[in-house]
Amino acid sequence: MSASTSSPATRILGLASAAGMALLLLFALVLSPADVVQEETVRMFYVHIPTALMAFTAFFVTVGASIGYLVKRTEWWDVTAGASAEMGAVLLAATLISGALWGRVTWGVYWTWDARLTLTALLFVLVLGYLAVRRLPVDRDQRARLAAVVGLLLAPTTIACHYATTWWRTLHQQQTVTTTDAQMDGLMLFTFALGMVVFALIYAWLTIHRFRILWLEHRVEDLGLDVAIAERRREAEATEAPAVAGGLR
Amino acid sequence: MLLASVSNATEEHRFQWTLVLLCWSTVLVALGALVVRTVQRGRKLARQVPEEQRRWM
Repeated sequence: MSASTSSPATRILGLASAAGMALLLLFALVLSPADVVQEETVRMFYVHIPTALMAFTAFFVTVGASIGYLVKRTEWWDVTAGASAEMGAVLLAATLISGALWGRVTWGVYWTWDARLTLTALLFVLVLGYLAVRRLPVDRDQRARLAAVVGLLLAPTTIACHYATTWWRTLHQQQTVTTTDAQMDGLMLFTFALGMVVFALIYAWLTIHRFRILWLEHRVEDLGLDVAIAERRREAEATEAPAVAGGLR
Repeated sequence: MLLASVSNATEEHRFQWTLVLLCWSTVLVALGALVVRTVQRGRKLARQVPEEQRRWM
């Protein structure tokens, strides 16, 4: 069996993600119609919204796992929080890039200091800070505790970011798809739903792999520590042996 | 005038498609790079850890 972070379940998830992405590209770029108002740019909707919503989901998983760590103090919760935050950061970066390109064609600018955009940028900086805390060269428990506390800050920022268009007057448009009114129909709604499923699969697939990588990093750290302790013992024994021999003489 | 309007419409259409394709390709490249990096890092780390500590295998 090859040494990797794969398992039968992740292989199935990976294949489903790849097949789903191919199907999504077909629907988003070829089969779904252009919008009456937004014309061809509506095709960015099928990547921008799913990446944003999955990034928010990832941050909520991080918040939940951070609470789990603070309560249970087990490695599993800490690693889950870290893996989900890594995926959230990548998905949020994708959201910012796709949003900037969509903004250029809709508003005429790549960026504006609108409440939604500013909060998204703040959230991105916050998650980068969280990931930086996870790399601090301190004791693992201390690092995990600190990361869990910083992880909790993602909750209010994510909520404010999600509801920014409702709470404040923003240039960014209001929610298009709500639970009570989709404001879309037919192929467009199907393509959006497919996008949500595909990005959820990608999130699940890569988060499992990122979890295993963080888990392995801890094991390598432990092995390194064991080797260092064994080396120190050997060094101490080697220096003690001549001294003992000298004392006997 | 009609020709100019058609030309402008085509130019606008091309501009929109350029941004749409740029948007999708950026996201796909970012995700692809993450997948490659994740697989490589996973393999490298898994080789350093005994099999009994890789509980998913």
